[in-house]
Amino acid sequence: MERPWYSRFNWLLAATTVALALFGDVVIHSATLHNPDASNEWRKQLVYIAIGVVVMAWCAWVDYRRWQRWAVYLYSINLGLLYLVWKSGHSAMGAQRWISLGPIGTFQPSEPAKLVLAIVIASLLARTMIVGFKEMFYTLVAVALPAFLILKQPDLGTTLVIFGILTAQLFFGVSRTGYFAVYAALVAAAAAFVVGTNAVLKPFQRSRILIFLHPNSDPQGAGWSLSQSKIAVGSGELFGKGLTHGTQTQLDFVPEHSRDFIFSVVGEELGYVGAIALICAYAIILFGAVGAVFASRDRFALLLSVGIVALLAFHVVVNIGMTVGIMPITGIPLPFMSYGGSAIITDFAAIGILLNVHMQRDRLVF
Amino acid sequence: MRAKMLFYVFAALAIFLLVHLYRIQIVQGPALAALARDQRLETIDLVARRGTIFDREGNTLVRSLPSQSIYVTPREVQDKPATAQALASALDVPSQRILERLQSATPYVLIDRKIERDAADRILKLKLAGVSVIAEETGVRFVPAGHLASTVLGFTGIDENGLDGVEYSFDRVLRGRPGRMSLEADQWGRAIPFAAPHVIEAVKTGDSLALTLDSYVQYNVERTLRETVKKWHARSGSAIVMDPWTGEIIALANVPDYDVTTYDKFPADARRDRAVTDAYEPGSTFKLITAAAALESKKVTTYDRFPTRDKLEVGGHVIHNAEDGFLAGNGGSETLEDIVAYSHNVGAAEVGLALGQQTMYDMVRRFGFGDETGVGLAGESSGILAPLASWSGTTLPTIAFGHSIAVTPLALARAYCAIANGGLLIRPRIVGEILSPDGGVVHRYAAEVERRVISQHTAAILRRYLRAVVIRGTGNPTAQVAGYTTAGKTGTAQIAENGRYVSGEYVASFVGYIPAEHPRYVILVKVERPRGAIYGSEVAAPAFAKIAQMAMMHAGVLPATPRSVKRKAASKQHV
Repeated sequence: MERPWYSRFNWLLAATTVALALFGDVVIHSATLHNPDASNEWRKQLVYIAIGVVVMAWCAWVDYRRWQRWAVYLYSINLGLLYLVWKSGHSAMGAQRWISLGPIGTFQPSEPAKLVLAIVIASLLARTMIVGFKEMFYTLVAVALPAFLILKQPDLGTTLVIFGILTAQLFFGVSRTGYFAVYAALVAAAAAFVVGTNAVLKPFQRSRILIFLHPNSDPQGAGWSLSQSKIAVGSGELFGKGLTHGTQTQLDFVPEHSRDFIFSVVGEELGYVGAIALICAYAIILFGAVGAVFASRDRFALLLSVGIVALLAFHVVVNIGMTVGIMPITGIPLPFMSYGGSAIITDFAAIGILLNVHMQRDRLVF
Repeated sequence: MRAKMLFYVFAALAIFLLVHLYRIQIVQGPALAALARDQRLETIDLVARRGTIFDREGNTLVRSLPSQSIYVTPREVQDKPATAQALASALDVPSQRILERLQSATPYVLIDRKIERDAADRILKLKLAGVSVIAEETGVRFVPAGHLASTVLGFTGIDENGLDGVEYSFDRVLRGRPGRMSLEADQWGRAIPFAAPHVIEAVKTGDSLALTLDSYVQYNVERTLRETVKKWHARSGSAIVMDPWTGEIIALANVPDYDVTTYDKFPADARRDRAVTDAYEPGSTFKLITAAAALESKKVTTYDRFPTRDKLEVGGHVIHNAEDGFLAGNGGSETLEDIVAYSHNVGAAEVGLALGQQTMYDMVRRFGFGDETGVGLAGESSGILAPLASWSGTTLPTIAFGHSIAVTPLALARAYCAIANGGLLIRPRIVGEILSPDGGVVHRYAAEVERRVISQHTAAILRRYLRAVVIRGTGNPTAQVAGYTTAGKTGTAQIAENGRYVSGEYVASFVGYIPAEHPRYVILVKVERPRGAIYGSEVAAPAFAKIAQMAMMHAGVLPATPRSVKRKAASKQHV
């Protein structure tokens, strides 16, 4: 006996996601109120949200198993787009991350890349029941190519997100814990090499990573964003200064406040209460996502859900952590909150896939 | 199970974030809020308008006008040579210099600061692209009367900070109190439109000064002094007109002087207020101090007679009388009055020796020599008076006729005020009142008597001596003024350079007062290094007479009837 789809649909997850996106748009409106260059960002974001909701609905409707079959095409298209960015991308703020779409705007392929790679890794690891070093190696190679292109943009944050997703999926995908331990040791060694030397990272990236360890070493330079953001969040105190009344935000002390540092706007203007509410919303979404992991009825679904959970969780923790000074400043958006079409549509798609996985939990497998 | 682990990890992360946010927002919240407030609040200083300097009649001597700067944004200038030409003619500077600045690569170049209002207006009318006129925070000092009283007034720096003269010594009064205003500013320090500025401290316009100077007298004193210095090809000169009863300085002139608005184009030598900064050996004008010491100590009376001698040998040095035709000759005898009237150095030295060092030193100190007068002008000298312990054998006899001591003209004029007013040492004053910006009196300086120097009786005898100088002594007839009675003393002093007296170089001076019966003004004229004539009677006394007459006419004191003059002349014929 199969229940109707609407009783299997995780309404709470979907509704929270949409509500959060709309709330994010209100915050974007507040953050850009006194910036004439960005004052229509909230209108554009509303359009992105609408597109995102449609994409989410479509992904919830499409059988998640199709993604396993489409993985290779998605991977190829995404790699092609990343190559295109590398060759002839649109640069802004010292980085080359965008492809121009003419009158519509710009498109950032590294955002869907995260979801695409979650799908690709899940399908690679789900091909066999036993995952050993050989499978791990293939997976790593598959990930390394786009990760390298993204790192070249340079977009360190997204690269780290991809490795976060990979790590989470390997943790759930490998057959023996020992294999994972080897992987973890390799990653730790690589990280030490990357952060410790100038070979891979540009100096400004290194200084941003290292500054959070010594936030007061350079308060006017690399530590500026960090200390200003921390002041913003802290000065919000319990109830905040009220929407549009955050002085740190409105007076441009906090950089990028409608994008990467949007949490500092919430912290400053809505206070501890607003921050708790926001974290609760993310908790609902993440526990809904973890619910999908539990509801997975096959190995691909499980690994894909894990990947998506890791994607969302990594963004939330690292982004909030960076605004309050406990994580390095890596420049990754806060899901459903930060301004940016590529990111929010990707996030909606991810939730849509989870909804589909969750919806199929009772289906029998033959 | 691995999925459960995931759950716990998330729960732990969420709790960690909430705890950390609690620490930042609740525990450190107030401190961070204060930090946020501090960095967006910018305090700016509001510069106060500088006060005006008036003369005693309320005529403006110096006032501040708003000033403008000219800036150019070179990249907005269309025709650089034409713009440079236009600016050059408006500002009256070479166009080449402006053109160089216009061709500079910097986005914003300063062309000129503190330009006058009409120059700014002219430039504004030209409507040159890329040229902007910006109001300066501080104004520019405007002197309506050019050189008038320049050495007294002093000048101000580019930020209207007093650097010399009254501008310097009364800077705190004139400057006012800068205000402070806080406003909310963004990261770049730009004031933000939706926050109301908050005045922490209101700006207080500087108070004004009403000087004791009388512009009319000052002008005429300056003119007479300039003429005198020019006539005798002298190096410099000073003149003072003082009210002996109140200590008010009615006029104080120095030659050379300068133009306050273009002070930097004059040498420092021209900007000095010599009358208060330069000490000189006064010469014979100082004999009155000796006479005062003699009479006050009663060691010499006005009836005592001294043998008239042409020279005196003291401690291996020979003292001579001046070869000025007033020689009484050897063999006779003279009273103190004669010594003063004919200005006999030998006699003065003998009187000095009769008094002793202590008596002489005490009287010199009582007259305020060796101290500043406290007039409140920048750079005042206290003169040079050797301490008693280091006096040599020749110090006493030479001080007795005004050498081995250096005094400022102002200190000497003050001593004569004491003689004129009956024996009271009074503090000279240059500022009469401090006025608030709306004209109310903030403070009125009262006449300040420091001490009694000599008795009324002694002062009266000294005035008789001074009158004798003009009637029959060295001041006859050059210090006489038709229709008025005058009294005073000539001085012809040698100039010491590097410890030796320079031959042929003298300071000619005259200090006196008018009218002799009831002195209204004490007048000092000092001319340094005259050529062609060296004597105070010849060089300085005529200037004294001219100034005295002018001052009397201005004060409305009419000349006495010509009849009395005629009668005196007639009585002379009978004798």
